Amino acid sequence: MTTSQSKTLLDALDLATLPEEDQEEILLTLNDLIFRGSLVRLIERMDDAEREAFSGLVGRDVEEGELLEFLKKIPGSEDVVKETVDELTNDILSVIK
Amino acid sequence: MSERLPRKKVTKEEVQANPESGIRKQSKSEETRTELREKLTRLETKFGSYADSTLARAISEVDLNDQKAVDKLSQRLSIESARRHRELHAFDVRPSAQEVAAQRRKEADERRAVKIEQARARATELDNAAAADVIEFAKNEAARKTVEAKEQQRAARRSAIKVKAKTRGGTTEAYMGDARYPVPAVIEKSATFGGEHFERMAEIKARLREIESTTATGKRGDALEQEAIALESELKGIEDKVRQPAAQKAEPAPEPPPTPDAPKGDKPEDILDWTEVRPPAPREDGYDGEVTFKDSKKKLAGAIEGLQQMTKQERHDALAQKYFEKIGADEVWQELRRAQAEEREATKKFYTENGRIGRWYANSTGIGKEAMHEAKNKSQEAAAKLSQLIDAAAKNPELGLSPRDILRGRVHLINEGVLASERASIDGRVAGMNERGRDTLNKVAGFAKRLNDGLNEKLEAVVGKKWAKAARIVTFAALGALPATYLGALGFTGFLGYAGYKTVRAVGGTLIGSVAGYTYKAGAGKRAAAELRADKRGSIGSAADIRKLAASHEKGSKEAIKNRERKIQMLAAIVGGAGGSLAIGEASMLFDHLLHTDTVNHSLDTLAGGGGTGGTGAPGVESPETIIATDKFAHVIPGAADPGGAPGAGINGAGAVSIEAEHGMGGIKMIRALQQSVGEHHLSGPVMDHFRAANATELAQKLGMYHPNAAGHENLLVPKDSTLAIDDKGQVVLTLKGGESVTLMDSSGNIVEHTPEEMGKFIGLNHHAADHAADTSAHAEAADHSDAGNRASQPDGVRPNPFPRPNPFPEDKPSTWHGRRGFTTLGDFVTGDNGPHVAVESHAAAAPVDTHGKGFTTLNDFVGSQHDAQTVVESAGNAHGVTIDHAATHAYPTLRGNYVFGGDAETLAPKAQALANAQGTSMYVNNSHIDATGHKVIDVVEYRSGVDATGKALEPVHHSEPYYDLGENDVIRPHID
Repeated sequence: MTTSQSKTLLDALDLATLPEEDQEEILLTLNDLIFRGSLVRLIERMDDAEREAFSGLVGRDVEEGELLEFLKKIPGSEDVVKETVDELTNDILSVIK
Repeated sequence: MSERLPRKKVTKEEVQANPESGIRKQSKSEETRTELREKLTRLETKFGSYADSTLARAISEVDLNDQKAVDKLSQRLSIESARRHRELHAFDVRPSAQEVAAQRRKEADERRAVKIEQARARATELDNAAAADVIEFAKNEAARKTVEAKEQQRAARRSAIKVKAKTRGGTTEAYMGDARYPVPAVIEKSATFGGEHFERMAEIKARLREIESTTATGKRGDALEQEAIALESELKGIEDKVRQPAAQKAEPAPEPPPTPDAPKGDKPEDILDWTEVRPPAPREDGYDGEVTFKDSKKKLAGAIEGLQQMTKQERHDALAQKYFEKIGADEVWQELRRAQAEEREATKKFYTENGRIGRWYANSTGIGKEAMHEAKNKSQEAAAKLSQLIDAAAKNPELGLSPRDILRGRVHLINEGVLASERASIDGRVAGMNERGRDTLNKVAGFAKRLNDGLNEKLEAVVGKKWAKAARIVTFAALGALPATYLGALGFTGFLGYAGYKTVRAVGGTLIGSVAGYTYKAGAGKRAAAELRADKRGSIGSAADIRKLAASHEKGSKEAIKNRERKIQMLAAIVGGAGGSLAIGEASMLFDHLLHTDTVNHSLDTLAGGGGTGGTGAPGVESPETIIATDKFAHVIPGAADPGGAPGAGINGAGAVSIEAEHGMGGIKMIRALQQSVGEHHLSGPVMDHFRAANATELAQKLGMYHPNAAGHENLLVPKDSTLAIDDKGQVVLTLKGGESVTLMDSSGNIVEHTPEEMGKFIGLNHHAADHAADTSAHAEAADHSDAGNRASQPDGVRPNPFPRPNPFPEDKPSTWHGRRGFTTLGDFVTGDNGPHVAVESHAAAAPVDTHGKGFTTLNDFVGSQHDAQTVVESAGNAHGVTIDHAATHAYPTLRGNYVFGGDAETLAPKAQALANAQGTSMYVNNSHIDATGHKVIDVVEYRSGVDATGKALEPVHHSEPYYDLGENDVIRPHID
């Protein structure tokens, strides 16, 4: 996530005005959404063989580097987070602004 | 033993009575033997079987006529019995008679003492009228409260009766709570409302009867007529009002009051407004709405149970429902929920039906695409409408929303309106995956959980379970590590950093306070830091500081101190362990806020800067040991904002800041880095304020750390590993690696003057400083000349090096700085992680003759001017008589990777690839563009050497990083690890 993306998102939510506990709650939810959304997109980009290989990797104590190498081979994997955050940002802006 | 059982004694009478029994009277001697055997049997019965059979044998064999022998045997038996008795009780701990007596005396004394004390207390009580008064008052107060409580209960019952009266009238129903449960205000109000009206109705009716009776007697005049009309009208109005609630549809049972351990969101203040509580629905068992205290309690208990069974989402929904009802937006809210459900279903349908026909194809033309978008639009429209209604409600004073209610509305909108829609969309995508996809997702979730659990366990082992909230910090760290693991290279982690920051900020003070054995409360970080400073307990960061901190606790054995030290280290290790996988920003944030809560307030840019680069591991956070043992974590903090190999800087518990020079950096750069740290950390004090406000260049000049040459380049160099610091005394101190230091500014912000010779130990132009003014003009002339000459000599299309290096070398001492490095091969020269100045200097030291044979007259000219790598390398090549591969002619070794300059991206691409292949490393080409948001973005293309698993040459990788504006001079520093 770039600076401008996160700033836009947080500005739109105007989190600073909310109680701290609510801020944390919302951030956690955002975090969860971005994480889940990214993973879902990532997995959508895999074919079944890749999904199986990925399952195998996370099923054992995989080295971080090995995992990253695997993910880099998935076409378009570089864009999943950006897509997720973009969509989330747009959706929030469309409602709040 | 049975064979030794004594035979029963036979009397003469028995023998005579049973002559055929064979029993014969025992002789005297046999009786004696029998007695002896009985004695032995008693002994065995009392002390267990007798192992030594000699006694039994002796009894059988003793000559009974030998009285002496018999007596002796009898005595043996007695002695043996006594011995066994002693053995048995050898370990008895029985108090002696004296001890028992002493104990009794002691107990008696204690009883007396108690009685005396009681007597004294009683005497005091009696003598102390005030005390007696207090007691009396307390008693009276308790009694008064009891009476009041009973009175309240009676009043409530009275109200309940009135409500019941309404019920009988078919108007409404309500219930009352008892004193242990708060009675909803609206119910109280309703009861009072009903009561008042019924009273008034009764009054009116009584008056009307009076008027009627008056009329009956023929005395009713116009005035009475008018009064009767008015009263009848009033009566009708009241009756209408009272009947009105009955028209309302019966609502579900009210929300119960919160339980003490209710989850977040269910606290009393979170239940928006209990005055909204509605009457319970009629019951099937014929319950007629008459409410008693007992019924009320049952209802509340049932409702509490129901609430506890709700999921978190259901509770949120219930609260949102109440809120939106209050502001009259419940219909839109329901519309939103329906739209979200539709969105989930439509998304699921889309992804199910399109399967893997190709995501991009599906997104553009896929089946059900329109329906999915339509559902999403509906959902967004409803949420937007809700947003407008919330805004309108906030401005409507009639609704009486408190500021908290207004904020609550926004929270509901975000959580239940916007984010719930996102969740619906994701759920739909997941539901639309095939089984393999969902399995994979579940496994990843399991992996994440394992990681979290592991880290939580570790944290609990350190700080104990009671720090449940603190464990969330590590969860954050784990969450941060997870995307770093999966998605780190994709630039995911910035947001996590912010989330972690918020949480850590909230609880870090408490956590570290506890771990360190202090009692600081959350949010007291500044005070904690101040106290640390005041108590001279030192900072928390370094190993020595940790030891000091652990030992400085007031009490504790050596073991306890060691334990505290271990805890602090383990905490750092845990977070550091996570930090190792985190992006720089997050690692630094976690450390920073755990150790110095609230003393630092990083900007979001800092976080995103670190996060944006992805989880490649922060310099100095490779292992917890490094962090602890070498205080390396200090490197992390500015690294977050300036990850391209900028100087390390640290902030300790006392608020001091330090910058460590790398590769001989310029003084102005160190000043600027120090300023940046001061600014970012919001540090204050005379020197820090001065630093924050001052112009970096001027300040560096004043401190003797900046002497520009004629070309405007800084020509000073601070030796590597030197540290420029604002120490905990508030002084600015420059320290060499060896420990020698010079104070440049005192704690009041006054510049401390030093002679050039004194400064010479610390900066590159030491011996020059005295002659600097005299040198400047000649130097400038030479530099200008060489720059112009160089530009003219550059091949077409080759730009001057955009990152000019300062000239660090005094002409007459070329080997002072780097000559000892001694590059032995051209490969070292080009690929070593040193700038060309180092390489050339090295060559100069190794082959001082004609090093820069291509027309440069001095080494200073050569390095200090804007020559690109080609010139440098060729020059060195000429000196050595070596022909250099042309592909390498634009190699520009940097601190953190090799960048290729001297042309546009297209021109440089083949060169960079050839160079990468030749060197076996990655080479980089930079370009820039302005993105849609108006930010300058550096495009970095990495050309890699080698082949993939299929034997195909590795493709270039495109990176991109935002442009960082560090203030006075823009610095573009893309981060490539």
